[in-house]
Amino acid sequence: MAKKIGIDLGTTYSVVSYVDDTGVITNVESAEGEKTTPSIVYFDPNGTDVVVGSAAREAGALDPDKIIERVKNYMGDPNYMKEINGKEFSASAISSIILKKLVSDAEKWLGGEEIDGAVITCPAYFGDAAREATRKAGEAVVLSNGQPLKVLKIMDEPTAAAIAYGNSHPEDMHKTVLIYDLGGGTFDCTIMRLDFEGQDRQYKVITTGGDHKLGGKDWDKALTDYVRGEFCNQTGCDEDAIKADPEMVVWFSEKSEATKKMLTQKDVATMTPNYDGQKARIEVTLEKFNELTRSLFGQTIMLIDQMLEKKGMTMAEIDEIILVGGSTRMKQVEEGLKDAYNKPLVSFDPDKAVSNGAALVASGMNVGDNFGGAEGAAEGAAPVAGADGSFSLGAQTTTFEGSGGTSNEIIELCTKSYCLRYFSNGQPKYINLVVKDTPKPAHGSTLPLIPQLTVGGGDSGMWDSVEIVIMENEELTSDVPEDKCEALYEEMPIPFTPPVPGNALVEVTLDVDINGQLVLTLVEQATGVRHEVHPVRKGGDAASKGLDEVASFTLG
Amino acid sequence: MEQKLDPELQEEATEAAPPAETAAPEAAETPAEEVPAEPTYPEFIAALGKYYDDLSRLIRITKAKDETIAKLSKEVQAYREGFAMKLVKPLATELISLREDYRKTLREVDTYAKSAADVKKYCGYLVSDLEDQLANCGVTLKDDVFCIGGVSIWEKECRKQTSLFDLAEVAPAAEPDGTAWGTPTLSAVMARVEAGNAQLVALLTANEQADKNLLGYVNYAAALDDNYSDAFLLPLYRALATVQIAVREYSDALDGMLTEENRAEKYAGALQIALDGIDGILTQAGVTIVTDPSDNYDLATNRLVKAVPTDDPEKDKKVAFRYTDCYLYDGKVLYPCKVDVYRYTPKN
Repeated sequence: MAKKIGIDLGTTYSVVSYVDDTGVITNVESAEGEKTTPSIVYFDPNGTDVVVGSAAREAGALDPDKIIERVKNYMGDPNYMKEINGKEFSASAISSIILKKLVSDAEKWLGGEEIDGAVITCPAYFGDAAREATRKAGEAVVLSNGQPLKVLKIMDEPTAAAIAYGNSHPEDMHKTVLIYDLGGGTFDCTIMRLDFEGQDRQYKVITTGGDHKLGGKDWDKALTDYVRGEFCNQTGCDEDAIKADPEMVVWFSEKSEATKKMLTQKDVATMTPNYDGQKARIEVTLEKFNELTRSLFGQTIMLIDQMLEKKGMTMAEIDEIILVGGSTRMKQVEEGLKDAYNKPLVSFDPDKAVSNGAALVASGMNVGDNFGGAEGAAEGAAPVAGADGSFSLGAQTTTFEGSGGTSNEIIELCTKSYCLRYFSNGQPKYINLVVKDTPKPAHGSTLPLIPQLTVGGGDSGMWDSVEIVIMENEELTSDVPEDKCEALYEEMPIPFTPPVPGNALVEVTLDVDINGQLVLTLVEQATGVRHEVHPVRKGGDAASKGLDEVASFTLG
Repeated sequence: MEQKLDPELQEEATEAAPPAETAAPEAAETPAEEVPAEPTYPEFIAALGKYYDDLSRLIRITKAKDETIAKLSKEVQAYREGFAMKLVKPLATELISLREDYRKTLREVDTYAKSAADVKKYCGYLVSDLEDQLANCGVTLKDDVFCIGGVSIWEKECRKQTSLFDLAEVAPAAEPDGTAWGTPTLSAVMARVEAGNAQLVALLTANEQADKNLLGYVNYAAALDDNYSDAFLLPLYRALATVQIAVREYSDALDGMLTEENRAEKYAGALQIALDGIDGILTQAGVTIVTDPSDNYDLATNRLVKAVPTDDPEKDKKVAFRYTDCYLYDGKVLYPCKVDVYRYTPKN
């Protein structure tokens, strides 16, 4: 029986899960026998082989210009381009190679069972470009049967974690939960509403926040800095020399991580650097470690508070905190959250919750209804790109059948705001057409906010065109300051033939069309003339460069 | 559409049905007793179809469950194969780290033994390092005796072996109701089919028994794990404690013995006791120490520390220096050999 899989395509590690015929969630083991695969790619100098995972780390150590890590941070960025063996690769192409390895391992693990589709997760903060890049990365993977991988959905990581959590709670529940997701390199916080009543279960995202550059590695670094400093104080060794010594860099990297893990079980651990004929036993107590990293933990609290404040919520509205990500094993996280918020904490399978949740959705999705078919799309209609969640501003409520025949519904929100820049009285104006944290509109419907603008602002002359541009931002209001906007799309001139007076009213709508492309429609109110334009992403297809090469690589 | 009935069944059904004219007055006299209408043949067929569907679904589920049990069993087996590795890894990795640190120190022992005070201090580190490793395993010093949970590790016994659980036989199905078939009406046949179906369903959904078996297996595996871990780790703890005591005694004996001439030698002696002891423990635990004298750079067993530029193309990707040994457990790399590797860089 063909299987659908869930893929947690992580910044540092990736995990694949699936639901077996009896409803048991199983994690795929890689060809190397690991349940998590480092998201690292090494391009062999011969130009045809690629190595992914732990082996890539070692293979690439000697050819650092042929190894690529943390590519997820650049998904959808047209300016990110890695030249390998004379060819250029976008972040999407490199991610596709990682997915190719994950899917290949899954096929081997499943022993001949076909893979019928995948739900791939992404951080909640991903905007359109990054989501589309993730979807394309998945679709460029060719299965062993020669068919391309069906990407059933691009799903927010915290939502997937909440679904894994919900799956282990068959009882009725009406809770607002905070998902605290601290991984190796990223921090995400999300507030969700879980309403479980009998067989009907609804997961609703309320708001999201986080910092994609804050993670467990920062805790390791703080520990390394402290121990190295103490060692130099006690022995008189030159700290810069130690920092430049490759042997010591490797030693600190290994020891700091091991010590951090040790401090999840004990209250004290020791590191004994050995350098240039000098040794010193540096004792690190849990208290000291917490003190060293308090500001890092504090940043997570600040980000949660900011998210709540922005949304006009307080912690009093939160019933429970769900811990996700390996770094939440640190005692500091549990104790700190208790001190800060005094809410019940739930930790379960922090490394695999995201892929497990994705697998549950994948296995329960009715592909005929959901794959490529947005809510309300006609039966048999052509697939709608973007309706699979690959757009922050996409469409849809996803439904899936959970264990025990439960009917599950995921209501996701726009995770970015989209604003329109136009000119009034010669000055640029910015207005959000789509506001972050509002429900994703169904395909074909107009967006809730339909601004009217005057073509010429205060100028009463005749206008033959206006310049507008769609920009992405994080603001929750309709008005948005210029410095908060990021122009991800090219400026578009909207021509008026014949010219219209400066006081002419134009109604503007933003939508996603059948091909998953953004469509901006302007309707001249006086004449009813419609102008439909497709915003063009900056950099054109650069964010997809190299995807067509993926199939030609052999996994080493 | 007209349904074609089985003539034999139809005949039986007709014979069994009371004549309408005789039944009617009775019904009129006792209206309270409502006799359920006799099912039609299509209804009967439809009911059979439903039973068939239900059963085939249940059979599929049961088959899937069997497959899961088989898979679980396989997984447990795989887990057991990797179990020793899981047990050994935390302690072994730490001991390897100490071993490599001591080897590095031993190579340049003169630079460490700058003074008697340094030697005393570093010998003290040896004692503390080994004590830390024991403490990390839950073995602590109590009244100068290494204990686990207050019991001396020299007296502590392994937990008792649990016998293999008995897989209970699946209870035989109860015979269908032995009463007579009664009047061979469609409703009687349906009742019979229904009864049989209920029993089949009960059998096929005998999850309770399957669950019992699974639970038994899991409990057995857990008990075995406890026994195995005790049997496996306790001797290692004892060996490590022995090494710690030997180093401690050696270190204590150095008081007043250290001179400028012998301090490096004495420190080397302490390091050697620790190294020999650790080597023994690692071997006892099943760890293979690989000292590769070749200059081959092996991606699977080496970890690069730095690339060393060379203008000799022959040396490209050859090992320039080995910092450590490589450690294997059951063929898997427990700790890679840290190496510097040549990288060909043309002069111009």
